[in-house]
Amino acid sequence: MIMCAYPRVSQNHLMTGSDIAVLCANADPSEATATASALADRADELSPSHVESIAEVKTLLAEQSVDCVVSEYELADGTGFELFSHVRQVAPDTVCILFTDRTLEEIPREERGEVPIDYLHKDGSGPYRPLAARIEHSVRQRTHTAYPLPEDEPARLDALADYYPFDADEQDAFDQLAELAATFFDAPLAYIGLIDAHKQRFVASYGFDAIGAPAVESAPRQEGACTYTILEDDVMVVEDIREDPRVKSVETYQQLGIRWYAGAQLRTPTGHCIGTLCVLDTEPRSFSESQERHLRQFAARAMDQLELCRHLSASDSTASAPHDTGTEEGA
Amino acid sequence: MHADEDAPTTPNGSSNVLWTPTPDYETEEDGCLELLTPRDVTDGVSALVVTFRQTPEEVLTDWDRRPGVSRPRRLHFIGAENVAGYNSEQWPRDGENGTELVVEAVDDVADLATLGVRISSVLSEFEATGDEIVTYFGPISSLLETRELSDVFRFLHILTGRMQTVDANAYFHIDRDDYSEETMSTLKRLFEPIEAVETK
Repeated sequence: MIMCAYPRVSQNHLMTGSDIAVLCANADPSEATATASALADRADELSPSHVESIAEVKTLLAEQSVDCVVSEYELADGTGFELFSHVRQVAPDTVCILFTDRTLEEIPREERGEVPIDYLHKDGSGPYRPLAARIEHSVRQRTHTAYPLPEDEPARLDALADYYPFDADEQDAFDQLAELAATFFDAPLAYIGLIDAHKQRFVASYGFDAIGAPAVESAPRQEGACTYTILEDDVMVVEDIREDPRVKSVETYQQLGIRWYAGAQLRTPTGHCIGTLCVLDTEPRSFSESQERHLRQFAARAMDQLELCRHLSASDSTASAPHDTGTEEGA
Repeated sequence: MHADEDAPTTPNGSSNVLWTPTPDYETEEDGCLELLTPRDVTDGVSALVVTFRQTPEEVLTDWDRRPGVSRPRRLHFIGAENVAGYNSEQWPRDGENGTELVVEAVDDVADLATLGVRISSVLSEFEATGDEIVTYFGPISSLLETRELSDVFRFLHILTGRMQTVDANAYFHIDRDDYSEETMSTLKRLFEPIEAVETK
């Protein structure tokens, strides 16, 4: 999974909708349909669809987001474990539940894979109610993430929706701020990112093209130190990424040779942290208290800019909204 | 320590507690055994012990020698065959001394997929009985020695979520001093505060 480089604001929607998108995979189309239908009958909030193969899931996940994948062991072109392995790569936060009438002893050890998943035995009576409850709990509580969530996560996401996406005309201001931060701290790399439910979306960056990083708009939350910065009370510094158990295995850092990280929070006037401004280096280094203070100031300026964008956006909305005639429609 | 007077009490309403041994206990697992055995209630209790350091025999011996601490009605052990001394084959599956006893194992403690499936199956069985469910899991250190922190976090995140769905009181043992502040601060976010476990 490659992170960073030429970020441009994506128009993808934030995943804050209330319906839970569930994908039911089974080699037997009638079984897949039955599971999807049973789930739809048992919980209004579940929006199930069904597939028969891993290939279908790959296509679907490339086009849309899914909250939960429920799979039988046997699929048309592989096993449920192979499917979950793919899901964890492309959409790692997705709830994965193996729903099968096979016992563990009936599944060869070498086919079970290595990714942690949930499991529900499908007995003769078809435990769809427990399955529906398990899906709702896991998705609402986000229990399949590989990283901790901030305590104010729902409110934080609500706050983020006010700031993102913003008008592309404001992009230059963020680009200049990222470059200025990198120059000020004598660091080769810097970026500004907003963290939504599952991804970090890059608002601006500096220096990544110079080290050969491919251009991407976003990266999964588990693929970066910023996921941990938003949990902290203040600036987070990782003096040597290879020594920090939280981020040492992040593939992007390894591929790009990134060894040092310092990030400050973008905190809204209401107190919610919606993203970070950070600087990075390819060598381990330390960071003084005064440098932390300056990084905090850079982040505050980025937040000021986001606040300005929010006001401009609100003004535009007000200006373009139909005038209130004082008469209720249909009255 | 006398179990009747000094046994630790569980915090009200908490499902998942990060347990770190204190010097009050002769062995690290002793404290958890007391936590796992609700006072005066054993008939309606099902206990799952997932242990990577002790054998079932050692746990049962410790359990039986503690005054005032009874075995639960159902007791299910899960261990790892690659941990010294754990041999699931030598145990009966149809009960012992009034306790319905099951002992099983995964091949490798690093096999988090298999471990998770086994635990989830046992919790489903326990849930169907209507019993109070108590669980010991540990030490987490055994997972951290073989898998990345992010893998262990996801595994524990799913597992603690499962504990919530079956209303279990679960105790996860970690050797706090063995790990960095970064590891501990990350894992602690999954659990009730360590300080919530007190000695009466």
